Amino acid sequence: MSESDQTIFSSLEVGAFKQALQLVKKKQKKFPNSSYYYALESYVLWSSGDITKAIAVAEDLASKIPSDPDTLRLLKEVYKSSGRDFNLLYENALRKYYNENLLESWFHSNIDDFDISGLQKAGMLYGKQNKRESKLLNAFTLLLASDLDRISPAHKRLFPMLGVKVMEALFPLGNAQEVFIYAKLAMSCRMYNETANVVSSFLAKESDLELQIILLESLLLAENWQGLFDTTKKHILSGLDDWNVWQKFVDSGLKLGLTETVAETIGGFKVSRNTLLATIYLNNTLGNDITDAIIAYSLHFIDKSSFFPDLKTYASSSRLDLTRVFSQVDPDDLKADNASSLIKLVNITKLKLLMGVKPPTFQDNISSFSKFANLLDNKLDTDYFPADEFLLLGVQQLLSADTSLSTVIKCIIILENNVQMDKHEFHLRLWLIKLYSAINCYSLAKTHFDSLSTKFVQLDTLGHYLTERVSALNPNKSGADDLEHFCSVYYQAEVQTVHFIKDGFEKGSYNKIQGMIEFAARLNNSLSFLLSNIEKAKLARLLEKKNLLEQSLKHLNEKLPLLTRSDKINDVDCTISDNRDFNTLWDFGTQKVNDDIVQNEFIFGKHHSVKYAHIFSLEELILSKNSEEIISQHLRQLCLLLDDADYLTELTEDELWSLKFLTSAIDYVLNHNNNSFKEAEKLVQNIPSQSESLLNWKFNHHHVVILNTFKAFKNFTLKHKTIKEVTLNCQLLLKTLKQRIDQLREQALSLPTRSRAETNALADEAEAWVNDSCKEQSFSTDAKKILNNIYESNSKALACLRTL
Amino acid sequence: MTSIKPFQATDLFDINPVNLDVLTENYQPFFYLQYLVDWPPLFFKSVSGSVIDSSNGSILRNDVMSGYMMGKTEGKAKEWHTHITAVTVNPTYRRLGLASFLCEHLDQATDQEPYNTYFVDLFVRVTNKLAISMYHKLGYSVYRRVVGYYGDGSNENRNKLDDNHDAFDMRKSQTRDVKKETVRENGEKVNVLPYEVVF
Repeated sequence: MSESDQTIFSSLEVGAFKQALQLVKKKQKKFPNSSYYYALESYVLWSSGDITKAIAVAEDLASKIPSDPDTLRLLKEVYKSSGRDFNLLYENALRKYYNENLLESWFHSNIDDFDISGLQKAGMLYGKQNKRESKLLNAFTLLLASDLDRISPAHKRLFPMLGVKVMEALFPLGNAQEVFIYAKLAMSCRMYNETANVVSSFLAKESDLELQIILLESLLLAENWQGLFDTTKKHILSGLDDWNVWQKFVDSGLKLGLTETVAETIGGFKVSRNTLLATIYLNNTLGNDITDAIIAYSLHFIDKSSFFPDLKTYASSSRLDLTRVFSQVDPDDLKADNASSLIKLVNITKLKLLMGVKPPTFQDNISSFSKFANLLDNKLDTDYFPADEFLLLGVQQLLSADTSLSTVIKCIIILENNVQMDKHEFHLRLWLIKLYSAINCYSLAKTHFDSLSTKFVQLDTLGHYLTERVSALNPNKSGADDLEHFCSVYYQAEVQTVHFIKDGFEKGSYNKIQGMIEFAARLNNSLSFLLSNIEKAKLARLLEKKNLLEQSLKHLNEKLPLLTRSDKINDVDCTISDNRDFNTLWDFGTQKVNDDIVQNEFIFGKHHSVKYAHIFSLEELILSKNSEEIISQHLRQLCLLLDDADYLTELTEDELWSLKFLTSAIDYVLNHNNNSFKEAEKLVQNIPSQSESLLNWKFNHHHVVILNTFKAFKNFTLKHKTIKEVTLNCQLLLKTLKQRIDQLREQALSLPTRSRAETNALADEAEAWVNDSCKEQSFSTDAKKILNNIYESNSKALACLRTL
Repeated sequence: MTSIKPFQATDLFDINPVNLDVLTENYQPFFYLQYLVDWPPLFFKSVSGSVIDSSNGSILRNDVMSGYMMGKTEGKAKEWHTHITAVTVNPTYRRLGLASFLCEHLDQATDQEPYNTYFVDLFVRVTNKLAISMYHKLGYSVYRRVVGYYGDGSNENRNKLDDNHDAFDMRKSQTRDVKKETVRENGEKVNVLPYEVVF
């Protein structure tokens, strides 16, 4: 890129669109035959928001069939943004001026976009080359495309058939990757026997885990029971102790009526977790009583943490006498200084909870924890302490009964007590993050989050613990920094995944490419990423950070088409992906995700889903766009969503009020509709009330929502000039809003005193509770100290409000 | 119920029960992707396997990741070997022999074509007695002590031992090493500096 071309892109980056366009025009005069500067003109117009003109220039250029890769790359951006199929640009160019560099450029441009359809189209052209690796690429991209949800049933049949033909022409297949491509395509064509033959003859020469699994699957789908039985038995006799093999061995043996042989083979193998579970599986499948088999398993594994997850599938079986299982452990006989005894008690407790058989009370759980607490003294820092589950069960029991502030404080005391002694236990930390966030103590939540050392992809799956309402809980620069840190993982990952997908094609690591494309697309379209950008936009407006707002709007703009799609296609490259981990929080007790406890009004409100992201993406784009036509279009969509009860469940009272006010007020500005003004006037006179308690996330939330609403509407009226009468009425609305904000600001001065009074009262109550319920149970917690930390953290959260 | 399955990039979304463990390092995505691309069969996971009701095909229990192994091959001539980069197990599935199971699978996968390496090696903190004992049981022995392997690189004296920062380079010879030339006795007494460990 020349220096003057660089100046054009620099102008675009700072929003100097007119200057960029003038520079492009100069270039066009100097190089009238260069298609690149016409594509650049279209790109500059598109960047400036003049979409209609941009498309007109792009289409005019496309009709001349440009073939320069840089030209096509720019045109692609304009085509993509307007929903046009940019692959046509390349197809036309290659039809007229075929060359391998251009084909590679097209292929790579589809990798950049994780566009599987485009890869398949480019792959077809590779198939015309007379090179083995090109044929493989052709067959593999047909395999990728055949898994797409959006292709027609005819293509779903056609693609794998074409792929199989391409691969058959390459026989004999040279390595595991080639056999993998053939096998996957042949399986898609239901050619199970052919798959099994090709894979098994390859495995006779070379071992490969993926192909071993495919072989078993193909024999199963071919209903080749003898083949499956022989293959699995061969593995078992060679000493392989793998559950997938055992399960298929049992299934095929039973299909062949070889029950005794199956039982003998299991019995003849060394005793292992898999063989004992295979015996349970065998008896369960035969419809036999499974009690003896479960007892036999328990004899070896009741003091392992895997006991409960291994057996819970069978716990409700009518052919299991649970009393015999329970009778293996007499809680009174368990020695307090023995780790095995502890795990036995944890396992039996969980099984009882699952089955509702004499489930332990809160006091039982605390007593059980206390009985074994002495083991913490000799525990390595990095070891896990199974008795923590009793504490988590206790917390769950308290919160299930009552989610008042004092209960949340009790739960925090219970968990803080142990987190000091068992500092690497992440379940306790995750619960503390949730609970501290609920009581408006972001800094304490963040301390626990930071202690988990979450990095990279974990920020996508676990970041929501901290970012879900960060614009309200920590509305200051550090909140914005946290969001930028979380979002940085996506930008890094995009570059890295694109590089390695290309590398994977280059090195022929085909059996990993589909997973990498899916991984990349799911990160790129991550719901967490989208919600973080919504938080970023809210925070950027509050803090008046233009750059932050622009970054956020760019992302919301890009993802809006995925939110507004009406088809039911689930392909990863065109669907918002919810990668958030909600399971780890509940990985204790019965392991049942019980979000009702944490999603209720007090604890943290509903999790934000795609619906929430849709509503607020539209809102932010309405507030930021210049074109009244586009604003009106988004406004209509937003109003429709606000009429849909399904979309309202995740909104707080404050948020719903704000959205209703803004939609009415903006409609008034644009269309001078008096009814809309009356509605906005009514709403501004009836602002929801603020939470009484400062130890409630809704306290900050209310303040921030009102302020954000005021700023949003004020900025909108400054940007969209209107007639005098409307301007005056808007000023009235803003004045009333401002009065409410002044009230909030006035009370801000008294917040530290109020927070101190509230925490002091809670400290007295909490201390009495600890003395009453936990004193004799090895609880060393200093309730007053914890409440003091809460006061300090709460004060920080409240202090943010004073600076807004 | 343990099965070994190939690791896929999308497994990184389900890795928290394993990687929230304090001793397990979380890497940038590129690190995992590089292993997937360069050594596809040597990056695999153990799953606590699904249970399928054979009468109706319904899934009674989904796969849960119980651990994983990241391995690679490197070196030239007699130094051509398998390296264990990371092996880790979900806390719920510890003390079941899973780490050994994962190591054995890697040994076997590279003890034949297409890899056919001379030996398998790994680095372990000299203080990690539990892991060292496990590797001994699996047939590994100490080949050398890498002084300052986990340190900041400031130690240039191979005789200045520091248990907190030193690692044992442990090895196990494979079938191809018929004369057992790649392992040695009393490797604990052979000290090297990190930059001297080059293949």
